[in-house]
Amino acid sequence: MATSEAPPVAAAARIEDGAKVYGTGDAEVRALDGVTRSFPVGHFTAIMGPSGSGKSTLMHCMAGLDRLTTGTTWIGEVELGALGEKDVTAVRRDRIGFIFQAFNLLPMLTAAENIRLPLDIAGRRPDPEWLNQVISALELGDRLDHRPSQLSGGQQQRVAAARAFASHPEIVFADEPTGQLDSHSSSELLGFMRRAVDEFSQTIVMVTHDPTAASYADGVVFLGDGRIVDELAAPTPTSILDRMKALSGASQ
Amino acid sequence: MIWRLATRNLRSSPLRLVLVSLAIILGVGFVSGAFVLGDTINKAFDGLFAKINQGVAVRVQGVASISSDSREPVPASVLPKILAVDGVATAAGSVGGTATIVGKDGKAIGGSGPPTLGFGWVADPALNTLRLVSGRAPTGPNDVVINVRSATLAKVVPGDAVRIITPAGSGEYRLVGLVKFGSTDNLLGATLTGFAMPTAQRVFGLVGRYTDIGVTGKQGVLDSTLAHRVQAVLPPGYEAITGARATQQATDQFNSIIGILRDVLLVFAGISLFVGAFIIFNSFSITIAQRTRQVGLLRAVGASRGSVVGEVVIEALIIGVVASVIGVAFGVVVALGLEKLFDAFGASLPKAPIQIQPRTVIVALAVGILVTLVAALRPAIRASRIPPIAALRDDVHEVTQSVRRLVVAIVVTGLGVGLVLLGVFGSVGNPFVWLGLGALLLFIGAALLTAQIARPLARVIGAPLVLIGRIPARLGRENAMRNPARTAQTATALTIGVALVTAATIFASSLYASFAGDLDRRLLAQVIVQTGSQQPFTPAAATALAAVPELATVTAWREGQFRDAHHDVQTVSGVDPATILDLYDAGLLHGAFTDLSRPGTIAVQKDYAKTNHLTVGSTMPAFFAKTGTRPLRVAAIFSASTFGQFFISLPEYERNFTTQQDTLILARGREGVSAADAKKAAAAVLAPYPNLTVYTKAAYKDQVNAQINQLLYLVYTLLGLAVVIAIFGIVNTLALSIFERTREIGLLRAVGLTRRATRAMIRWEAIIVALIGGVVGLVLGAFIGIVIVQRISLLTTLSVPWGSLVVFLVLAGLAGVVAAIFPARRAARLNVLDAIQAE
Repeated sequence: MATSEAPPVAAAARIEDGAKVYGTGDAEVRALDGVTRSFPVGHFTAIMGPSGSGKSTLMHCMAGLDRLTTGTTWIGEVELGALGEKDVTAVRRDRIGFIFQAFNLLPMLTAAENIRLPLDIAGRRPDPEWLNQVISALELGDRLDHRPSQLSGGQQQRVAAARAFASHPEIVFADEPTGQLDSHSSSELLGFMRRAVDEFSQTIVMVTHDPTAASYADGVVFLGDGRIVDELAAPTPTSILDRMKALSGASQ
Repeated sequence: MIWRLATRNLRSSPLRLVLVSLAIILGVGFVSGAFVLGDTINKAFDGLFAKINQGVAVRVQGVASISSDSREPVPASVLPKILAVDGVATAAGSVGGTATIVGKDGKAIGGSGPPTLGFGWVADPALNTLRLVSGRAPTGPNDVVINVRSATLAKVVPGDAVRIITPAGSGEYRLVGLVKFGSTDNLLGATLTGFAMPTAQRVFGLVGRYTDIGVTGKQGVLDSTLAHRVQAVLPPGYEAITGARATQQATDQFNSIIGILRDVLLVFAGISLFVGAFIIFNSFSITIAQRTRQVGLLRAVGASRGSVVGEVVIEALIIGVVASVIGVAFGVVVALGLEKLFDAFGASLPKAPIQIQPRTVIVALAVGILVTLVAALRPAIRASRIPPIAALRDDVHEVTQSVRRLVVAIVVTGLGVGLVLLGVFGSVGNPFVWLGLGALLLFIGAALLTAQIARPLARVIGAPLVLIGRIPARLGRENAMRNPARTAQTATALTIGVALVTAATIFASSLYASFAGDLDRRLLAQVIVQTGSQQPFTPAAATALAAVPELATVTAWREGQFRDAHHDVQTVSGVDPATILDLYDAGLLHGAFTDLSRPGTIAVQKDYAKTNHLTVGSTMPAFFAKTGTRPLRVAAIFSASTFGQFFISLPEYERNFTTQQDTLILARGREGVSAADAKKAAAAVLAPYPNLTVYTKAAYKDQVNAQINQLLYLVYTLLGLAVVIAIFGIVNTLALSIFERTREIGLLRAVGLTRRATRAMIRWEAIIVALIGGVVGLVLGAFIGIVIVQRISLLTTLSVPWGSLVVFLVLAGLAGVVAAIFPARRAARLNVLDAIQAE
């Protein structure tokens, strides 16, 4: 039912017939089982699903952190499967931003250094105007010289978000970014992500199991047993919860 | 329970086990190798000399009044008296000296290394050290026998003519037979020559005398009884000892040489173990820091602090025992290897089965286990202080900077500096003990101090590297800076090696600078003649040179020992008073060297003169083995200490010493003859003496330098072991750190750090750690080296070879690169997903 036609233009990322298989024979696990989906530019997409549904695997394969067993993924017009390790690394560095659930920062670098890290690695000069916009939007101006250990969890995650957006990436992948934050810090971070999409046309793909977090997205993709089982546009926490209940009922 | 935990912990990181054990294995290996080799050689010589002295009941020889080399020969007139002693069956004199065999190619056999021994043939096989292998014994004045190996090297067979150089000169002899020394043919590569007894007495300058006399007893007479009776008929200055004692004396003399070798090996084994201790300490510190939560959990579920200590100690004990046992076995391999090395250099040792004595095993095991336990003790105690709450806390901050620690670091370092200075400049007890202890404290203090300054040090050292290495270098530097204590401990392992290499280099460089400078200034001779091994040689060479028309001045130089008023053994040089100052500028201060031509006079170096209140005209007593105590009048006082502290005339030398052999000849060409021509003329006339080398002044200086360098390279080789161990230490720390930083590395890889850049990051960290070790090592080494040079008055010039020091620093950095190879590869291969998902 929930098949999605990839728009002919402006897909920031795309996966076609993606499958990821671990083990062989009896021990074979199909973490992804024929997923096809396009993530359009300027969209904030949430990926939801129960544990083991393959949502993290989907994100990892699309972000060039892992490889599909079969199928293809693109970032923009670049097919990741065709690239070697070195080039995939370059794609991650130059075109993708990451926000992880925990351990997002290097402890020995200051907040400012952490934010600039991907740019420094790439040897690129930051766009100072954009950087200032990001930093002020995340209210990090007075925290830039602090080390991660001197920051609260919410502040740390905002620094991680600033790093993800600092290089003006084509797409940002966020893996349970609010998983370890309190509700206040969560809404601050998600509010920023929403603004990044609305005001700066960023593209975000976020894996989460929190309906409230997912409600900040433009659409939700539901995964089950490695397949896309449903989609929801203009989600609210309630509509998401309802859909989740329906899905878990359907699968029983 | 704690036993199971300990073994599990060890098994969980086999790599760490290997790296840590390696340091102990190498150190213990050298301890046990030194003992095994020493014991084996000892056993071999013991067997050899016992066999030679088998039939000898009593040996009669001169008393060693100055040193074991200064025994006066025994007058032949004593022989009939000995034969008349009740219980004596037979008695025969033997004669020994140096005799160099010249090969068919005109070159001396044995080069400049091993001894060249000559003997008189003793008819009684029980009293003859030589055993005939083939041919016949030497009987005529031109007959000679040599050992099999020498004959092979000289390419001569019985019946051939062979040239032999003796104290009497260079002469042609006829080879009549081949011999062995007791049961062995190759004794440390020595060459053996046997002459008929009258010939030997003539060529060794012992006509009417014997080096010693061997006595056999009649059935039923105890050796000791016989020795007692023989002693009674001897004139004063001679002793009769039993054959067993004679064996012991001969063995001891060889063992003292082997003993030096053993002690050198033990010193370097000690250094290796000390470096190893740092690595073990560091390794345990890191793993305990990494296991903080595990230890906290243990404490939370009720483990006592004691059992936490016990767990770590058991871990250390297992490592110590396993590594030490392997080390002992490795030591046997080391000993066998060294033996092979001797063989390869043609200096074979007499063979004996490998001696593994209980003492060797006990000492080596005890040292290895003890070092491991001591090194692990502090980390163990620290582990026991981890509170149970640590199991629940996520971030445990290691606070390393504190005033107390800084104070301790400064105090320990200061104590080390103090002890080094006490050892060098003080006169309390054994200076080497203080020096060693001081260096030990200095290194520990430096490790503590480095922990305090590692952060700024890494920042400074890393600054230029960050410019070259960009982001990976910056990340590497940050990694090196984040745990200063760990960085310091890792670096210190390398510090020790670099410091010792630096000190040795400064010492050698100053030695050369002092000696070369003095030679330039003092040595006025154009031509210098010496044997390669600086052994004495026949005066016939100087006589031959005196007749060379191109040479204007030639002086022979003889050296001998006497005891001064304080019973200290001193070396005196016999020279020609008329010409010596034309060839050697002794820096005459008072009196005149020409006055030495009067009998009973001596020239004294100014420092000795000052401490002994001697002025020109005063007398100093000198005890000579041949003539007893003689009062010598001071004829001159001079300043140079390049070539000896005392001078007498050659006639005075001849009066007071039995053996007349030169150690050096100095010569100058006539006006208008170039140094090269003078050398050429000298070399031509010395052709029959291939054991002698003719140098120009420049070549002589080069040769001095080459000798110093040879020694230095030997020290480098042995210290290289300490550096290798230090490299393993860096590998270990990096490997453990990478394990600890798995998620960080994963994050870096996720946000775009390539594998190559990841490797570079680890490499830069290793380079910075190694350079910290290098810089601190250079500073410490320079301190130790300079202090030692200041102390030794012979070293007049302090020379700090900056070029070498820069090279050491570069090599330290390279050591870091090598150490990083494996850990860097491991870090680059980390699976990004595993890394970021790892709990």
